[in-house]
Amino acid sequence: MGWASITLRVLPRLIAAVILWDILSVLIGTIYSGGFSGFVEYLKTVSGFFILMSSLLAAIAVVTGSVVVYVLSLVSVAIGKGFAGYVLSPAPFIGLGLLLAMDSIALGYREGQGKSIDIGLRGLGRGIAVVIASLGLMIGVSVFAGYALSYIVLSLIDMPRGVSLAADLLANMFSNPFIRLCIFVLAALYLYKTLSDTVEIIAVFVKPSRRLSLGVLRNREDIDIVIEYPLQTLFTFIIALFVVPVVDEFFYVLIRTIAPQLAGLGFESGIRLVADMAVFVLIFVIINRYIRGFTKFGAKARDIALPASLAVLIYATAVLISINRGLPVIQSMLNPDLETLSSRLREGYAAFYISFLYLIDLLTRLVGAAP
Amino acid sequence: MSSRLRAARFWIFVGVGIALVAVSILMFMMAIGYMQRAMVSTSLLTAFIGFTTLSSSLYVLRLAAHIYGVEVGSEEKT
Repeated sequence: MGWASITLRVLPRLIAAVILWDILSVLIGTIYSGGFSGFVEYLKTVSGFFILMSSLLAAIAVVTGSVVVYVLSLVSVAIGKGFAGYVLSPAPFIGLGLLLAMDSIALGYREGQGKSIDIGLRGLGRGIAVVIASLGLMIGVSVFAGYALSYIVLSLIDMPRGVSLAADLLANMFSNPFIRLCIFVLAALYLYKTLSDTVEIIAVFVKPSRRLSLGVLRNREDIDIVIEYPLQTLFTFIIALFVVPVVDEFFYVLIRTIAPQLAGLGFESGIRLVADMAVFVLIFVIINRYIRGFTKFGAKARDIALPASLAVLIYATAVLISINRGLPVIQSMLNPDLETLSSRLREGYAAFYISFLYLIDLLTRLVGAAP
Repeated sequence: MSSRLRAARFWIFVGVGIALVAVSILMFMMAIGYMQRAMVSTSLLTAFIGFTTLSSSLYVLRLAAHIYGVEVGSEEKT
């Protein structure tokens, strides 16, 4: 390994370490002075939490030399310092530019294949001018688009405040910093997608390349988009609400059959709520994938597995209840106890929905959206 | 197919894309207007339509750009 590639590996980490030193010193200082109790001190405030997280990310960035982790650390420290009322200094952004430049050099560098090119002073000046102009154009466009988007989002957020009584709840929700952060993150992601598409369109029009365009047009993942109808997430959410109590009942009957001593350990109260929610998230993820499978062109035979498995689950639960009542296996398979199951399911649905509403209420109170 | 018709087809793509951009800008402005008049859900729905039309216009324009690239682009050395 030559000196050049060693330098290309060491230098980004060095730059990251120098620039992120104030953030890193938080972590190092805490470890040296107090150990665990120092961390707890940081976790007490929101800004402390974000600064601690960013210092952890900074340590990872210095060790791995990854630009993405560096940016994540910067975002985290910006949020943390924003909560505390400070503004980030411009130094990390200059460091980001240096890191990106090093990264692109490292990507194209091949050991022992170096060649020198001969350009005059004029050519050098022209090259630097092109780089600065394109960078400036990109930064200008992003700043302008960011301002435009923040204007739209802020005016949408700030309008309902005090307009009418009906909009009072909405104003409460929008004034909450957590929800604002979510909206701005979504808006920023959308802005990034829009900008990158726009730049791609302009670049292809300015300098058309047959190979690139053929590559894009041949890539079916990129061109064939699956049209998702709106509110699909809500749709799968409602379906998951229907399915979860059945799956729950199966698991509790299974636990009672296999390990009756576990059933006494508070599975009826506190742990059950947590377990219900874990099962709900799991079912939601599975159903979401299956619904996507249904809406895609050319649904496969395996897409019917979910409804079929639900029917099998209901049958298996009824059989397990029969076995619990002391019937032999063959006879209980022939006479599944559907009546007990249905009465239990009725209770299960009511209990699940009550705990679900309780949890939603708790969550909105926790983030401050409801009084 | 004559080359004139092919060129016209390309401009149809571009026209649809630009029309969709115009519609989306109109929708964003309408969304702010509705919010000022305290019609919250109407405003949010209008903003949603605006985002959707903006995405679709970008998709159409991107497709048009790559078709243009295939037709007039040069084969560069790799």
